[in-house]
Amino acid sequence: MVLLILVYLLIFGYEWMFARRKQMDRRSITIVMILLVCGFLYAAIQIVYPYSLTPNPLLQEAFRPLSHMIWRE
Amino acid sequence: MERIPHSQLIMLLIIFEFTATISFVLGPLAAVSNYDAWIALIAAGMIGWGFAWISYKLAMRRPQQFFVQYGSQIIGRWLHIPLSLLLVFYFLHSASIILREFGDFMVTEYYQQTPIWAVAAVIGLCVACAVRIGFEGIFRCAQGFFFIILGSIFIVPFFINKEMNFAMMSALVKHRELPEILRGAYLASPMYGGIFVILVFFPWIKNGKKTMRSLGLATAVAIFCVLIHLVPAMMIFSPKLVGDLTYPDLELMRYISVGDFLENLDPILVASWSSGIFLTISLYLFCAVFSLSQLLKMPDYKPLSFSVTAIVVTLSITMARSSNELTLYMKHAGMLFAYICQFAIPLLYLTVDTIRGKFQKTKYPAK
Repeated sequence: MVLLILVYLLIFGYEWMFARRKQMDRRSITIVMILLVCGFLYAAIQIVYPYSLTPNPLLQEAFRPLSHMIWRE
Repeated sequence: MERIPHSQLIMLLIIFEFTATISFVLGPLAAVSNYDAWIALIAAGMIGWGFAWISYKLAMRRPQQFFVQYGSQIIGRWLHIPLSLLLVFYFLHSASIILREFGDFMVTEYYQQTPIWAVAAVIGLCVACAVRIGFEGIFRCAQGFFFIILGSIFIVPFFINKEMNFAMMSALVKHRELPEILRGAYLASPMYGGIFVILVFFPWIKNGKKTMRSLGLATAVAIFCVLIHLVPAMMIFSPKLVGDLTYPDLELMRYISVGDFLENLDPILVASWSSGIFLTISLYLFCAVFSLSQLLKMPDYKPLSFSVTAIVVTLSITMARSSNELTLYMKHAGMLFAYICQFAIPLLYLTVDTIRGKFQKTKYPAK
């Protein structure tokens, strides 16, 4: 978790400096920061709750009927 | 921005098409298609090229505009935004699957004590830098790696021809089972259909009209590169054993023994795989970042590169608890998801655009 926080802090710092140097508009900075927060929350949830939902089981459930037809199981 | 010449496009797409196939699909392909695996592979390549043809036709309707920008003119904003987000998710998911497969390979075969997140983070850092440098950087990189990767792929059959059981050739030629061919083609065609990504960056390709020819050449060379490893592997190990092995190509490489001095050539294979997989993930990630930036109407895609790569690395580590779970996912959902994104979505846009074009012509006939 400490490593994760450090990595995200590093990315945040780098992007913040980049945004200031390039004089990016506020909207772009907000989008980047929201994306960073979402990424961090997803990673943190996966660390704290290792058995929480990931996209793969959802997709597998969604395609189960078709998959059964193809593989005839 | 400088336009991409066809030579660079062909080089990148050859690497893009065959690296993941040769690394992770040979085993499952031989398991479902047995002796027909080579026919299934050729069929898969042709199907993949067909998918790319749909994307090419769609891109040629508006060759100066990007797909994310003009898509809303075809099917309307409310349908275009979710479909574009689905495509962005597909690019991210594909990148994370390949990253996970490669991470599993490195951890099980070479770095037994290293956690998978460390391997994924190192590759992720390289990929994020490549995406941040930009599109031209990825293509130039492919140009630089191309001959080294291809050289390491082409030397293998020359070293192992003594070990091959040529009596098995008759089974390879005579054995025909249509269901096995179809299942193999179903399993392998998304690896070749991945070239539909041209849809995302089509306006950057120099002389877009010749793109289909370049895609055909890239697919043909990529099929040949996989065949020269698949057929020897089947002739040495038999299709049954190739199907049971996790990394048949690695075992094939370990079989090489020239005299008493040239053995253990697998580092060459690992070098070529890692360069190819780096380029494959970079291209997928670039497409995701670029499409997302256009969807969010951002002036520059670069600020998204590190944050999106961090999500891909996390997704690759957490998407499956074991490599078996990932294999099951690929068999039951991964391929269908790929078909939807590579084939169904571009076909929907092309069909609607064609119908709208005809309707507008009848409504407003040319004077």
